Amino acid sequence: MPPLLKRKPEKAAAPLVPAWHPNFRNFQRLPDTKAVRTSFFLNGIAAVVTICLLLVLAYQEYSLMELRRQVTEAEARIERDQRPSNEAVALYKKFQEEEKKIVEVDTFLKANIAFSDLLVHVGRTLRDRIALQGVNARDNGVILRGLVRGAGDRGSGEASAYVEALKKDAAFSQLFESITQTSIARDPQSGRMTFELFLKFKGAPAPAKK
Amino acid sequence: MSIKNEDVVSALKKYPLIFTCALVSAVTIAAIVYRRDELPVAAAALEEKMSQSERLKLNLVNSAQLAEQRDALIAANAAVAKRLIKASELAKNQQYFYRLEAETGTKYKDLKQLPPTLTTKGGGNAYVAVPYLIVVEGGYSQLLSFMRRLESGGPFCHVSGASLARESSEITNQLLVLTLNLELLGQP
Repeated sequence: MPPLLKRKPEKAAAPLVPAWHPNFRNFQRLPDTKAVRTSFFLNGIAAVVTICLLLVLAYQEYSLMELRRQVTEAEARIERDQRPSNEAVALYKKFQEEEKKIVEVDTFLKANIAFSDLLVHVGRTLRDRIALQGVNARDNGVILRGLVRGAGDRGSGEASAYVEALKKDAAFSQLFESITQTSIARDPQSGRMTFELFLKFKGAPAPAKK
Repeated sequence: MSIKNEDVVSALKKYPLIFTCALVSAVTIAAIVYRRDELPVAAAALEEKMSQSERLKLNLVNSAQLAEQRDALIAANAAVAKRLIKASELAKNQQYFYRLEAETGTKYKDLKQLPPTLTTKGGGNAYVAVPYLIVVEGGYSQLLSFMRRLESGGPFCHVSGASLARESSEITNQLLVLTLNLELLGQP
């Protein structure tokens, strides 16, 4: 075994400063403290680095083990739920087939014009001096044709007042987007004013231009 | 400069702890590097399994009352089926309209059944629409009653166009003419 803790001779040859008291230490026999420091720190650092690396590995392995445990649990849940879920999916397909039929009936009836209700309400909103000649319901709106008793200013005024009354009507304002007077003219035979109104359904496309 | 075996043995004897730590560290680093790729793989597998598990769980939760709801739909569709007409049964279909005529006191000027069409575009339809062109005359209350019975009667009825007008321009004539474009829901 080499003398690790033996002080090097040059240390002893270090210039001596005048001491305030006599130095009785024998440098030749004292142990080398640098060797102790080096050995201690190197060993310590190596041990710390190794422990840190082991901790990293341990954490990584723990994470991996935890993930695998969760995967196993999820697989167990999947295995448990798979069969009832497949049955539910098959049942839902049958449900959709039945639902499709109901939706088809609903779509068929939804676009329906409740013509009898419309006629009754048109009758309720009719004014004294106005008589209807025809009511024509289409998919985009309703055309009302009528006569106004009284010619000239009075007749056209009555027709305009009728349009305003229809616009203010609560049921019509819910059903129709706009109510417009499309024509007004004097009937040469009776001398009365004839008019035509277009009541456009909400969301209906605009009538094609002629 | 070469390192001799004696030097290595000597250093090993001189610093045994450092050498042991270095060896253990090297093995640990190798293990960390070797096992590092398994973490994302396991995480991806867990994510996939969790999403699959959640999907199955949702299926079960959402299907809690599915059987009852399907039974209700089947019952509703059975009720619908009772009100369907068959396009091929011309005489039976017209019988329905003539019964309406008799009940309301109106009179047909025209009654035509047209070829059946699809109720909705896109195919896979369960039903067909059987179109009719009807011209009927009568008084206001008679025609109103006719319309009411048609709209709330046996077969499902869809009125696509309707026109009510005086039969003649004479103001004293109370007869009205109702022209209807309608469809009845039928079996394909």
